[in-house]
Amino acid sequence: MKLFLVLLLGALAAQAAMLDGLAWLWESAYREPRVLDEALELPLTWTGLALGGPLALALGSTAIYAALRRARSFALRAALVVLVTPSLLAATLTTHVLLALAGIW
Amino acid sequence: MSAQDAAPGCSRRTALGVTALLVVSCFALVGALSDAPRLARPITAERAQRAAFAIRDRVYPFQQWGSRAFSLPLLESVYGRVEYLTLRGDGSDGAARYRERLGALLESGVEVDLFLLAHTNPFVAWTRELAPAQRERIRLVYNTGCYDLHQRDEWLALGADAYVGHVGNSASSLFYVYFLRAWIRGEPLAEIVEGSNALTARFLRRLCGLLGARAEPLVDATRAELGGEEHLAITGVPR
Repeated sequence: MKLFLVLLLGALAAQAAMLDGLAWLWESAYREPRVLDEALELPLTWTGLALGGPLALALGSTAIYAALRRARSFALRAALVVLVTPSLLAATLTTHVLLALAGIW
Repeated sequence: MSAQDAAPGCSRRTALGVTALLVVSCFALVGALSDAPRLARPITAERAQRAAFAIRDRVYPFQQWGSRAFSLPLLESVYGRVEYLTLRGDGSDGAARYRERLGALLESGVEVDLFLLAHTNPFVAWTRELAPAQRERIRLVYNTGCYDLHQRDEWLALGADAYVGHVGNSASSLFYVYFLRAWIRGEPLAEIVEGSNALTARFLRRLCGLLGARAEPLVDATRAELGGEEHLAITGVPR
């Protein structure tokens, strides 16, 4: 269960870091005066999306795998999967955005 | 049986299967809510022979950042040269900066596609100040501005080959997400406009259904219409 919690918290932390980081990014880039070099804007955006997308997706899905493997009862396994699902959905949506920006989706 | 297979929960195979199924289900849901993955890749051939100019008006920082983050990578993947201008400050120097940067792009001799990412806007008047020889190199004009469909005839008279604008007080940013991703994949303009209208309407109907709001007025106002060369694609007009 400890592994499950670490993975879930890792996924949530990655998503929180993305949201916080992107909010900082757009304020730094588009409030006047601009305090962020324009050349850094897109690389930081991609980094943020990679944190909240594929990384959070990997952590969330590994958390589900750990829950399924380690929780004893069916009810507990189902509850843990439900607990991860919102984060997993948000990470999937972010990954979709990243793939769209990359011209893949 | 290995030590891992002796874990108290599901077998390794079941756990992997269920996890994969959940991830695939999430992607399927996202795809159903937005749009299916596009198999065609962006058109990179002969990209040096075309250029794009995009302009974003003065809006909230989030919108300015989002417009650039979405547009610039996609445009740079298929155009040899891209100019992206975000209007800042009080906007008083906007017309001069617009003409300077668009003029330089047109002067380089390549055909230029314009993406006007701005609320109801005066860019058609700003473009009128450019030399006719420059304006003739304007190929596509896509305008997100509400009610800016009425600029269609003027843009075509100025030299644009094709113009796409929205009918009313629209959710054009949603349409643009579908439109640009189809445009860079080389589909003909008429098909893109029709397909993007359909995807936008579907999304708006679902969203309004969830919110308990009436979708049709917004769908009608968001509808984009095309003027000029309807067979135009990013690679040009097929002969």
